[in-house]
Amino acid sequence: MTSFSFIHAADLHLGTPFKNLGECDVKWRERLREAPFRAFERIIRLCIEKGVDFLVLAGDVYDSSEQNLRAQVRFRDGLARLAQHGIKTYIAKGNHDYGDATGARFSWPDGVCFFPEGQVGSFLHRKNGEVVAELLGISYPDQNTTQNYARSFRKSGRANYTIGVLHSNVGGQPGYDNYAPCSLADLRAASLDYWALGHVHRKLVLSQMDPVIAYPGPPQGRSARETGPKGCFLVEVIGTKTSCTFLPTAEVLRETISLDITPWEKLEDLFSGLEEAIETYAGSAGYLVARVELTGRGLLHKELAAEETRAELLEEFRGRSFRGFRGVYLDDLVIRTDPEIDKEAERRSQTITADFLRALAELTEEEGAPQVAAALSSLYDSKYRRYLELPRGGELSELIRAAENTGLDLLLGEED
Amino acid sequence: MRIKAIHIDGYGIFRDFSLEDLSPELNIFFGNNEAGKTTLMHFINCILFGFDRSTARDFHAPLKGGTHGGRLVLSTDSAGELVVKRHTDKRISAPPVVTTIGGTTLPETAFSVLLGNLSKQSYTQYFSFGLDELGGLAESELQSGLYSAGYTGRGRSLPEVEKVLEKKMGELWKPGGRKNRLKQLFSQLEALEVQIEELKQRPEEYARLQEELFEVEREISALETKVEELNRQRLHYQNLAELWPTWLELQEINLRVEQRSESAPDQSVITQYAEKITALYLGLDSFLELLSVYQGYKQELTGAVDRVNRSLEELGMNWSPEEALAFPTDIVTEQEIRRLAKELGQAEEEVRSKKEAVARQQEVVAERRKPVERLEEDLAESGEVETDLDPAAVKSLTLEAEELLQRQAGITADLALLEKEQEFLEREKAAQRQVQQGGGRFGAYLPWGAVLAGGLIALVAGLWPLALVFILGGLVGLWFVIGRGSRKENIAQMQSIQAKEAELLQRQESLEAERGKIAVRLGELAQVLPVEGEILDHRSLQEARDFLVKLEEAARLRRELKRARQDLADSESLLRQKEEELAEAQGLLAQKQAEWQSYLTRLGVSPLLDGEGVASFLSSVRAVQGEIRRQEEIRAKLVQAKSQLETTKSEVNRILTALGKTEVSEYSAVAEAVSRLREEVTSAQELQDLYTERERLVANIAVRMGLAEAKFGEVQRVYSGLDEAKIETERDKWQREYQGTTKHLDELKAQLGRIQERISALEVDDRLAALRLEYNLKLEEVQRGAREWAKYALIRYALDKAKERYEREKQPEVMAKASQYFERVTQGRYRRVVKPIDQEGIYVERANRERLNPEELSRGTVEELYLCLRLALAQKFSRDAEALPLIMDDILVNMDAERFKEACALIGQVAQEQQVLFFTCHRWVAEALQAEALDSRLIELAAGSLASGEPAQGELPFTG
Repeated sequence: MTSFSFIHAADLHLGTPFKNLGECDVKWRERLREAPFRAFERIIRLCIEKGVDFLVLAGDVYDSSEQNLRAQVRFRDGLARLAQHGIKTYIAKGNHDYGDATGARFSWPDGVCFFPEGQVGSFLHRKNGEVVAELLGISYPDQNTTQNYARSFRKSGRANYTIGVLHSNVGGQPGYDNYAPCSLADLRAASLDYWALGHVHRKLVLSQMDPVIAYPGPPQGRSARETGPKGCFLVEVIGTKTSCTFLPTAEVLRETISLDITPWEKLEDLFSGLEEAIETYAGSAGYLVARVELTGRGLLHKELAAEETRAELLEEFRGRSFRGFRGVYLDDLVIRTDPEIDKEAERRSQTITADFLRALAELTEEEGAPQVAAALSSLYDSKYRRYLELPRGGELSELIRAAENTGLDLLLGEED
Repeated sequence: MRIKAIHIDGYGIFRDFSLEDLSPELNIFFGNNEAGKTTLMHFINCILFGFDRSTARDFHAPLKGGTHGGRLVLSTDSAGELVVKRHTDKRISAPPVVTTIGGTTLPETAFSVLLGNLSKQSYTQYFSFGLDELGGLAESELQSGLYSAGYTGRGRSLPEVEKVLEKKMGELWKPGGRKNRLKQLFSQLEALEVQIEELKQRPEEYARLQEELFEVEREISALETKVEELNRQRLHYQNLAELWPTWLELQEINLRVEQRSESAPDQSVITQYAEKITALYLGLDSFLELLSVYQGYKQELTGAVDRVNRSLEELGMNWSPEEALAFPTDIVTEQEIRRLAKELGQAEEEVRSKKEAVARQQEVVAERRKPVERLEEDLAESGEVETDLDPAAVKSLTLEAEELLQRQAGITADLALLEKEQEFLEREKAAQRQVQQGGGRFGAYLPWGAVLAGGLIALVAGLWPLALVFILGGLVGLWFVIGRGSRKENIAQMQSIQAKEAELLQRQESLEAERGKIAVRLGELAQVLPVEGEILDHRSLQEARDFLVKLEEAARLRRELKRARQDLADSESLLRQKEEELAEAQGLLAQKQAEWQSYLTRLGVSPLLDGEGVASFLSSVRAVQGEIRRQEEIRAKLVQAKSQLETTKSEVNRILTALGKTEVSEYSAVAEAVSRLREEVTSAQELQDLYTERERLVANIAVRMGLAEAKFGEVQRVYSGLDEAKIETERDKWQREYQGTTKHLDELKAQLGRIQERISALEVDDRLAALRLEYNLKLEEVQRGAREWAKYALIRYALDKAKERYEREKQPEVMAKASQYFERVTQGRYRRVVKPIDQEGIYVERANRERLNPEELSRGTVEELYLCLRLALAQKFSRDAEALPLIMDDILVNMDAERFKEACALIGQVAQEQQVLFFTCHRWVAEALQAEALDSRLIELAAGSLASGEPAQGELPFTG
């Protein structure tokens, strides 16, 4: 019975900078810039340590739009190490590393195989002279691919085990561009053994077996919403039996920590609460980049509502060290606390405060959008609008909530 | 809120002014001009809202002294009775000190809340006004008054909130502004975009560089091949040129070789012996030298043989040379001879020395005999004393005799003394008997004193035993004599004297006995010692002493003689010993002489020879032996030299035979034969050298030119058709071409290096990522700032909305009230007061619906309008918070009688809900107001104090 193993990773986005970082210092910038590379190097190390037969990369190794040559060079160097150990790499290009004029001019190390653009290509992987797997895959010819590539995958039967490599939004996963869209049924119809997917930035197993259909997510979370452990899949095949193990690779863990200020009376409580929360993540990565959200209604609200306090707190937090991590960086402190003011009573009152609250509440309604646009037009319609996006949906609600709280503080608070 | 009392410490013309028990409703302050009405009104404003140094209008520095300021007693709904005190200090408007009835202090902010958070300006607009203010109401104040959200007892007023918003938003973003945060961030983002765009061109450059790299590498490879070929050509001609002299030399050598090999065909045999011949030739000098030595030896040998024969003859032993050599002249024999001769000499010397010793000893014996003889004579002369007495015994007896004679004398003296004592005692006895018969006592002392004195004399004389006896006796006697004082005592003394007498007698007898013994002994001694007389006395003692001297001298001589005799005997004994030793030495000498003669006989030499003779003979033999040996040595050398000469000659003859030449027989011919051979060898070697040189040159050229075979023919082929000039031309041509191409290649390689360097630099450049991150961070900052700005923008939007709504829905309440008042004051001429939402200002509506702007109204009507509006606003404020006191300064004077009356009624009505302080200088105004009010108090002021007596009766301008 033939057996082999490989590592399935995707969405490396090498050289693409982190997002949602706040005002981080040089040391952290350096660390975060380096983190995706560290994760990639971990994958390389895992390949060698686990003695896998090949590495599969399901798209978005780096962003063509970034034109980051350094990233491409480091990627090439990593694959060269694999080649030295006789480990092949099969790469399908995605919506970020499509086309890739620059990469094509690299002299790639032996054993690096790119799937062709726009059409499904096939590679037979041999182990000790024997074909153990067929890899089918396709690369994006351009960024915006709306074609259903999944339907072009067909098992040839030249090998006992067939792997499909595809960068695609399967089943319209929300929050991701709908490139190469396809359905789970399309994938099942191809009768493959393993679908190595890329594009969705979180670990997502769509099918546990027959076939295994899985997104490994990125090896390193980069934005505030890419929280939790990140890594790749170690896939071990014995005969046609597949077992998948998720291996963490992230150097930096990203998390959002929500804290309720209601029971707290002084800022020091906030510090200890945060320390406790951070400790629960200890051990999952070397570094932690966390976003702290404060909610609840309490004594601390008034202090927290002031922008200066928020900034000072952030600075204070960033200056502290926390147990369980080599370093902790707080990218933002989001204040979602409420004042102790009884808003409902204010709404019912006959004062202008009530009218103020009502006017804000009306903005969240459907017909409020043009009003918001008008109210914000001097900035959001300025020549710098390309840097901005009008708040909508949850973001708008959040903004309006903040406006309510700040407005109430202004109207009902004491004079400065 | 109502003012209950006013206390002024110092303010304008007021000093220590007090006004208690103000009416909770209407208070009318009446006074002439300069009575202090306006000042008092300002005072109230200042106490409630603070002094303002910048506006001198209500600052009113105290003119009559006193501390600047004072206090108000207030009655409030929410905080009860309060005392509000303010005094200015040098720096700021005085903060109020507010104390409650309970004595606690109220914070300034709490007091401010009680005042509805109104500013002084707002208060003077709505609540405290005079004719000057009455004519209008600023739009903003009107609006704030109408819509103030702040006037709710807490929070800020709307304009304040708007100001805060304006400030916050302006800091973040202002269209066209430069210093706001977002604008700065946008500029930074734009700058970053430019940089990033530049860096994004990198991959294109990279791709271009890769292509260039490929091109340049290809070109380099082609050029390298070409350079190699050019280098080969260049080196070919360069070598040809460099080897040109060699080629010329080679040609010349070749010519010589050809000539020589024709003249001397076969050189092989001589060449075979070349080495040998050369060696012989080089050894020729030593050969000739050896030859001359050989001849020298021959002559020397002849001389040596003659000398040996002569010496043998001289030796006279008839020895052959062999016999001479056989004679032992060895060192052992010589030593033996020397030993024997030496022992013989020693034996002779021994005999001689022993003889001398005997003679010396004989002299000694003769010498020693002399003292013996002399002493014997002396003794004979003095040796008369013949006694067997020992001198020592004689000496002892003599001494004894001396002592005995001395003792004999002593005893004689003692006896004499005893006699005297006995006499004394006799006298004493007699004296005592006298005393007993009454005799004088004195006589008794005398004898005892004499005894005592005698003792002392004896003591002085050294006769201490006698002295003792006398002294004791004397003392006892005296004691007896002195102690006797009675008859009884005298008897005792008598007894004592008798005892003494007996004692003396005894002593006498003893001395006499001793004297007898001494005499006996002296008799004995006279017998023993050789003296005359029967008893020894002093004369015979001297005789004994003389005898003793003679006796001792004789003893001495005898002792010396004994000693001299002993010495003589000793030396005689030694002489005998020496004589024996001499005899022994003479025996040894005879033995040695026998040994010597026997040895010489054994050697075959005359036994008569002495040591020196033998030595001389030996030396002659040794000389002969030396000559014989030297002769033998010369003979041996001669043989050896001949053998060497023979060897060389036979070698030369062997070569000569091999070369087919005649042999030599004489040694003298050898040298010439060798020289001839040598010449032939040299000639053959020269030819050989030419061959070798030709080969070397050919090899040189072949190696440098890379010829396949190192042969002269090959070299000839390479140079065929070429001359030096041609070669140099070719060489220079190829050299130029080579250098040009090499230079080009170097340039290309440098270019390659630059490209590779740039590629490496591009590969490791991490700036793009850094800038991207920077860009993201800035973008986030922008978004955060924009959100913050948007928050404030939405707050502003909502506030505008609220204001609009408030204006639309809540205005009628205030305006309706104002309209109602205005209608009443104008007695129905005007119906409504309206504030339009979308425009500034207000208008009034007549009963006929005609709308008029305030500017179109008469002054009095305008004043009526704003009074009504103010009263309505003040009432509206009062519903939400404390109703603040209304203060009016003679505002009714421009009204006509009808409207004045209505206005007074209106004020009276308002005063029921809100305290009114009305200031006027017209008594009729005061009275009219008083008439309209339910509860009022008229207060008259005169020059900063309350007027005394009844209120002055004013003159009403009209009645009604």
